[in-house]
Amino acid sequence: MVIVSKLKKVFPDGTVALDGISLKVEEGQFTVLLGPSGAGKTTLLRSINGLVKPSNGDVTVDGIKVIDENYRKIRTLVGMVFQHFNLVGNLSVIKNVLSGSLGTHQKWWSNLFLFPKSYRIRALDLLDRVGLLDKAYNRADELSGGEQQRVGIARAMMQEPKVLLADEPVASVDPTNSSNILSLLRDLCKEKKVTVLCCLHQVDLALQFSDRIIGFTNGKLIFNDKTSNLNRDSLRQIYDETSVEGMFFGSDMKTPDISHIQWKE
Amino acid sequence: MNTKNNQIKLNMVAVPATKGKMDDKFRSLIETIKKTTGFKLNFYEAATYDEAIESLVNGKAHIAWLGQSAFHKAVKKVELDSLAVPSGDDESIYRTVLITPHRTKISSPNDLKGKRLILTEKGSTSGDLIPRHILTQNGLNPDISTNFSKVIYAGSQKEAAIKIIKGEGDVAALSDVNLKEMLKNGILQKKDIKIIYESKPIPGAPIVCLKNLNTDVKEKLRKAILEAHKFGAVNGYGTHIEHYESPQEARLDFLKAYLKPQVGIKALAVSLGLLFLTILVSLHLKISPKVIFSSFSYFSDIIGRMMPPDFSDLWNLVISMVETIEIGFLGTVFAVLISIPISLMAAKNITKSKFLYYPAHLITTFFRAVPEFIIAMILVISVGFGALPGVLALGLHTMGFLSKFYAEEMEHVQIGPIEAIESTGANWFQKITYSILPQILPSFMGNTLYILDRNIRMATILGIVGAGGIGYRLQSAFRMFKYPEVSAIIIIIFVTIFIIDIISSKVRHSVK
Repeated sequence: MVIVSKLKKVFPDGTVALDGISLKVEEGQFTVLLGPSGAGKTTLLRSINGLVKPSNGDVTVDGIKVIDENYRKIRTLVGMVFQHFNLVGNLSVIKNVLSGSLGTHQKWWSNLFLFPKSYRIRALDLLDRVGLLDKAYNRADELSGGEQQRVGIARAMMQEPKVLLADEPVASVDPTNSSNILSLLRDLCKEKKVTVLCCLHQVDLALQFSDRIIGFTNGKLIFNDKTSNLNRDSLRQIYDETSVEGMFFGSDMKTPDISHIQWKE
Repeated sequence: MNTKNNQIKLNMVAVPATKGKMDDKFRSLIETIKKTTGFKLNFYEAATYDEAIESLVNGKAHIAWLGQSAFHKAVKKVELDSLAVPSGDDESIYRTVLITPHRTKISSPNDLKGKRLILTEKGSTSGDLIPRHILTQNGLNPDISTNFSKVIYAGSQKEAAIKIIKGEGDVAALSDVNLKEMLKNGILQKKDIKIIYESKPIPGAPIVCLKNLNTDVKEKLRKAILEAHKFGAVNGYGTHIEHYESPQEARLDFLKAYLKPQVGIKALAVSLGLLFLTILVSLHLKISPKVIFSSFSYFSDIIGRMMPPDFSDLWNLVISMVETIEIGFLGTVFAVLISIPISLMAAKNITKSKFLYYPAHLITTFFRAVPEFIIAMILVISVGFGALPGVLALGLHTMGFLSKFYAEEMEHVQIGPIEAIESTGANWFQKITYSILPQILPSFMGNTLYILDRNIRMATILGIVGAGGIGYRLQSAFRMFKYPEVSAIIIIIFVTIFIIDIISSKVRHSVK
């Protein structure tokens, strides 16, 4: 279970990314963090595994406080899937997946890219689950974007996490692959009872896959309820109206035509 | 399930993978199960794949063998437990093969475009789904109408084979189990057909049961199937079934087949080879740890004689050092000026003629290959002592490098911006200045500064062959055994290069 209490993050340039947020994420649920860009979704996600240090307030994962002394412990419990996959392109697909287990496999020979057989079988099992068993020994950078993200998911699952953080996992993937990847993520996590916190900016995907939606804007919590209770009004609040107007500003403006003016050179 | 009279009655259904023959295939297994469990087990073959699934959904059948495709379809409709999976030698349960009449020119799936394809029955694994998958992987998705002139469903594997012999189709997909059988009983003759493709082994499909079946019954069944091979031959759908194994075991076996050794034999061989080579070369050069240690005493002797450094002629030494820096600088300017036109000729994406490309490459390779030391020696003989041979030697040698660097940078620029500038109607020069130059400028500056840094360092040594600068002073100090002055010169060179290093790395970082 993830508990966030009165979390505040102010960046050095004065931007308030999170403005005193408190929430609880239930075990085994698929929770989507929804909000316009700059709302603070990513900052919240990254403060759960300690990639961002909060200015105030605190986060606990499975009863362990996220502070400097606990980072290693927390990071073995919390897996992460990244927007740009962050695979090591020169390594094989299976080595990328195996790298997910480095938090528990810390023998000196792990640095020679060697892993116990049981680990390698588990990596192959995960690769089969994500449909990439045949590409286990290809270089990771030979794969397409969608395939790379599936490797990213396998790597995160290799870690056997209690909590999985997914930061815009389908933002760099084409639309037909998006729902495949999200349903894969959802099914694997339901099966292994992993709690998922996933940032998304596509409302339709959030509605389709999440158990719960947490809506933000400007670092403040706007909505925190079951997905089925999300309605048009709450959506409008999350994507507040000023920003909606901003989107259409360009097309509505009539600018004076200057093309016929004769200029003296 | 009926538990009256203390006898449990169960029904087992199989899909018609080989129509009318499924009873034969499973008979001995069924008999063994009946004997060991004491259950009343009624086996029947469904008329179609869908009927088999349906009888599980409405509870008519409790146990089933569905093959791969119907199994995947069934688990979406009804909760099933996998009891056991067939296992044989190297999992070779069966493979899908593509056959053609013997006399055609078709020799691989690549030759199949526009031909007539024969499949067996819609939804069958070996006769429909796997061949579709294989063909799609070869770029011939049967659903796209341009790939095959005709897709025919023959109804059964036997019918499909007969159509091939009669010439009613060009290629048919069969399972190798059926093919072998047909060859054995003479439906097909080896000389009439040609096998153009054989798939990887397709893992055996499990025997499944309803999930809500009584746990005790389930366990008894599982045990009976897993141990059936102890009571005589087991059988089922496939060629070499030796025994049945638990789904977990089967999964593990399946994954183990994909394990590869972690330390590649290649990597091991290369490391051992390098070690061996190092030892061999050291022996040939007569270098051993002993020789290295014994030479230390001579070394400390000369160091002792160089102390303390003699800075009495400091002013003149500094002037020579400045001269050295100037030689390095001018040499670099010279190199850059020649490199720009030569690199334009040596970059494949810019030069348009082979008559420019090859000579440019030849020139740069030549000057890269000849050390500046040798160029300087030749120049000292022809133009005399002084700074000029140093400048020319450095310029020519590093031109070889700079031209190569510049040309490679130009070759690796992104094509997009060049196309964009070209599409505006810009001319050749404008293309270079607007799309190529801005892209290569940072690395151009970086490489040039690196060469400048290097040339100043090299200029200090070039003096030794008479090409001016502090190197000249160093050499004469050595000749006259003025060892304290030698150490003073070394200190001056060290300080200068240390400062140049700092400046050069700062400047290089700022341009990137």
